[in-house]
Amino acid sequence: MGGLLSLVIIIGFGPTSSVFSSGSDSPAFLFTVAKRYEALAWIRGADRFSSDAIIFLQDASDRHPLIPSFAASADPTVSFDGKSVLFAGKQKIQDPWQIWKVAMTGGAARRVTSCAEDCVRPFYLPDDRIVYAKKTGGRFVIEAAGMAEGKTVRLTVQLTYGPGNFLPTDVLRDGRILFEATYPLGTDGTPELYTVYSDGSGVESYRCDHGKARYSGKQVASGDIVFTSGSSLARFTSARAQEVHISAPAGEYAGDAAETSSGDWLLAWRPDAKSYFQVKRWKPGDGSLLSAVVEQSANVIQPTLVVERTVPKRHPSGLHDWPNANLLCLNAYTSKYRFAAGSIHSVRLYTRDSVGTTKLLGSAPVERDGSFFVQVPTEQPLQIELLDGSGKTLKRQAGWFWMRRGEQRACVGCHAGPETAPENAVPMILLKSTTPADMTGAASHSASGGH
Amino acid sequence: MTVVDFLMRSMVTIPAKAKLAAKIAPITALILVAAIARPAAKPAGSGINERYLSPLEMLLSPDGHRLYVVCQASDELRVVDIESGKVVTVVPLGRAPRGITLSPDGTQIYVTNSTDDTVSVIDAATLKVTRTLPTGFEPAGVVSDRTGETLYVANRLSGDISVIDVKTGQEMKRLLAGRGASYLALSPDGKFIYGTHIYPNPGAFRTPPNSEITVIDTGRQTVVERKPLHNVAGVFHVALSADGKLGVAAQLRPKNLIPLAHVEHGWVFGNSLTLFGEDVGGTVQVPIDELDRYYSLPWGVVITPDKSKIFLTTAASESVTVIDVPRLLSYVRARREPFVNDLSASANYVAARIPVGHNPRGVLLSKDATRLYVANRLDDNITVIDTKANRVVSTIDLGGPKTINPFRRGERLFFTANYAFQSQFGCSNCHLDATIDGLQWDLEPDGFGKDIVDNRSLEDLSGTEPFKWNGGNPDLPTECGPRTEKYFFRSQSYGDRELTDLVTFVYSLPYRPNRYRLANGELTPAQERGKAIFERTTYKNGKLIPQTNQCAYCHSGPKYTNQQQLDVGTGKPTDRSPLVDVPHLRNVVYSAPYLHDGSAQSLEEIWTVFNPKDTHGVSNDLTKDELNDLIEYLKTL
Repeated sequence: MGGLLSLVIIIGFGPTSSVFSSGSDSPAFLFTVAKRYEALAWIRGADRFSSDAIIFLQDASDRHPLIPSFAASADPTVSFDGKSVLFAGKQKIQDPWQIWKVAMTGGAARRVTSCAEDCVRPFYLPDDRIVYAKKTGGRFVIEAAGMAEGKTVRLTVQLTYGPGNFLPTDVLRDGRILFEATYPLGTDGTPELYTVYSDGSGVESYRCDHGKARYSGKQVASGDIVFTSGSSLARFTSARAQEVHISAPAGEYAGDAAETSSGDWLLAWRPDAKSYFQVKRWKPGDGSLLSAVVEQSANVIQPTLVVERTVPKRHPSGLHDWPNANLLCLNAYTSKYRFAAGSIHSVRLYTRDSVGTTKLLGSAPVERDGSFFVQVPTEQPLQIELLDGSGKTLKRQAGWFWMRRGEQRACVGCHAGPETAPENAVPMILLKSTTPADMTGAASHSASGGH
Repeated sequence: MTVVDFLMRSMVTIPAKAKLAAKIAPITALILVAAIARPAAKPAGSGINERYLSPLEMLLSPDGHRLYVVCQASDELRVVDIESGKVVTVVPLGRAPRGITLSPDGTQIYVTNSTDDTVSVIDAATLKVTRTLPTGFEPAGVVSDRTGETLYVANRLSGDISVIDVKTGQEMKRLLAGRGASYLALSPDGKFIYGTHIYPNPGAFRTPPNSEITVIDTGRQTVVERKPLHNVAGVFHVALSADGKLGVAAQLRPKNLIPLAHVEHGWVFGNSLTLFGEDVGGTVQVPIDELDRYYSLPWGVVITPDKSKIFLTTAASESVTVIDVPRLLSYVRARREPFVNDLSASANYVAARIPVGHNPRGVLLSKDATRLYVANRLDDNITVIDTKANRVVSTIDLGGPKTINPFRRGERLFFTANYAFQSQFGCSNCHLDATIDGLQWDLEPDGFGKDIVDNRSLEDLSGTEPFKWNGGNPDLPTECGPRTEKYFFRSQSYGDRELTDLVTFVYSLPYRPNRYRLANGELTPAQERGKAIFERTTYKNGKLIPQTNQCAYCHSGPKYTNQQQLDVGTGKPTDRSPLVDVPHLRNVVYSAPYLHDGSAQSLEEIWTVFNPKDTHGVSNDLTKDELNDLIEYLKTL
């Protein structure tokens, strides 16, 4: 690997709070170099990097492989105190990817996972927990785990349950995990950004203006999520329901933006699809990019600052000790689909098995105000279908979602969008009964017919 | 006066000898409680006697050179020379001052004293209190009419507006206002006064809360309109544009009728404004929140003279929201459907969010409108903002203590939204000014639609444990700690020290003066008769009432609770258990509605509607007059 870097150019930065290179005017940062980089290979359960991927550390005076003894390394993420790094690595080329931890001060890397297949893309969570993607049966699912005294994982919790592949991309300051999957969720659709709590509950897409491929999102200091949209850059802001285009110099961006303390961004960029990615420095608003790291014959990607940063809020799991989950919809008419008043009569719920066979779980009435309340099986794909009075499908969810064991979830409507807050009214279904309709598949008969 | 007003006074006032014992008792109890509360690591009570100021409202002198600042906790008016930024005079006031206004000729300053039920009249030239005028219960907002002859005072506890003849100092009449009447604004032409209130008006059980903007014709001194505010509970300051065509009121839209399954997407509160007036026609509610960030407890509001901007303090978010009025009006006119639940709407009219200090309340523009003054209630200072640049340019120190003691830390925690998911709300959203919100909530852990619970008063809680209506939380650390984190805030909240501080503050919230007791402490004949009914042990026919069905058995002890959980037949089919924790009755008159789920709109309904089998005390043998007597007595507790 050492011969891979034929030319590296480093440009200095402004003052930084870098832990590793204290006293320097250039922030220390990590980056991954790989001959091949395919950002969306995870969609088919494949490696994003060629097997020669290596993480480098660049500080004020030097650059060197972070873990020279490893055959491959990628996906670096720095701990909140800036003192250690989690990464995906292989000691030998034939090994599966595992999650490893290494101190910034040096020393041997410690393996923290023992995955039969690959484990990649790790991130730190509060309270000595981590989250990463684990390949199972050729498919990536997201898993969270505690680290026993910072060593190996324990108490693993699977967070994603739909079909398809899932890859974490950041941990937001509000404690949610930002991840990428396809839209509609669990289909062969377009990559999209989603969030889930660290106990696997509350999965939803970050925004509902679906369209272009969106991936490799990172939260910056303002709280915005910066990501690749198509091949350019865009952001989600707190104020807007739609992505906001970022006017950056032309070219293709690989996401994973890293924001320095001075507000500059480190970005993986290339002029066109035939070129390799390079790491560039960009001051948002400027018309040009400055070179930070250039490699003539390989991609330079995943710039990751070695700095102390704010610990995200811990999510206090409210999951109950129940085998099933409850789902309340306040008003199915609150929807981007504009259902005619009084048209929704009942709701069906489906699941699918591991080979993709869809199974009807049951149906339940929808009240006049559009509310329904169902009990559903957990940790398996779920899909909702709304029916009119004649049993005709009004709308069937295109993708899949899941609920965790003991989760209680309520929705404003059916595809209402995250910008829609609930109206304050007692749902009619709860005036009728506080017992949810059994859609766990255990009941022999389903309730049907609404108002 | 709120319990917070009173708390700060009780902590900082050097009591007169006659009151010393009464003062020592709660402080001693507080220290003991803090000592035994979990987590136990309470820091030493250094600075316990700090006399904080708690600036709440402000007024500008007619020449624009002086700022009059109402200091709620120190019972003062602090006068600031704006040019030097120094406090030049301190005027002692009555207890827990709250509202302030100026006479039209600028010679008199009026300040309401919420604990004393009075208005202090201050000579603006000498800065001496010259008269004290009586008002209704717990006066808050105050305005003068254009002639200067009549003063209008919003009374929070009596829910009305006193109309006071300034010359005689006599209250001429009271106008029925919304529950928790608090803030008033005079229209620029002087013809109308607009009033708001912090608690929702009484309504049917489990229906959306409704509030109003009460409109008073100053010529006739009557209420001429009540502008309905649907699904609003908690309305704060109201302001009018200089041309009188735009009114704006700061408000909360609680989501108390839906299960609190989570917080995201504005699930618990909608922070918003109501616009009214010719510019918008009717009333229009507009949100100020965003999709992932909330601006909690909109409180103080002002419109620039050129109607270009609205400045709004968001008291629990430690910020000022700046709204571009032309963009706002344009957006309102373009949207044909209500959009108050659209969290993306604010992007179309919010121009800036300016971080300020802890618990920002009153806002005031300089005479030339180039500066905005913001009273940071829990910092004892004033933030000065450049209104053109929308940025902070200076801070005026009002001279309060520099030490932040555990009470103050706890108070800051109570009044901030920073601990809830995406900072959507804090303790003070439901416990407005550390009281109640008059609402019933559907909390998630019980299941959806089950165990509906009425918001309980926080006054004088020591000795009333356990907490929750089912008595499920043995102490306040449990109530405010893991339970709040998991089922309310849904986000990492307090560390051990913070929890200790918060509990210290909550436990210290005192009993507010009861307005129904005679000044000499004795009871009226009706109250005496009611007391006898409350304490009776036999039916009218002489038969013994079972002990557990005697009022004074369950409602016993100094706080009128035996701290047990009992089935008194008030459970509902949606309750998981018929057992309810016996509530204390201290100042029960102020905490309507009643019963564990708030289904009784009045004290009377507890027995006339919800006690058909005499399971909640014996009341069916009482005449209407006797029941009235019982209620008169309960009002005195």
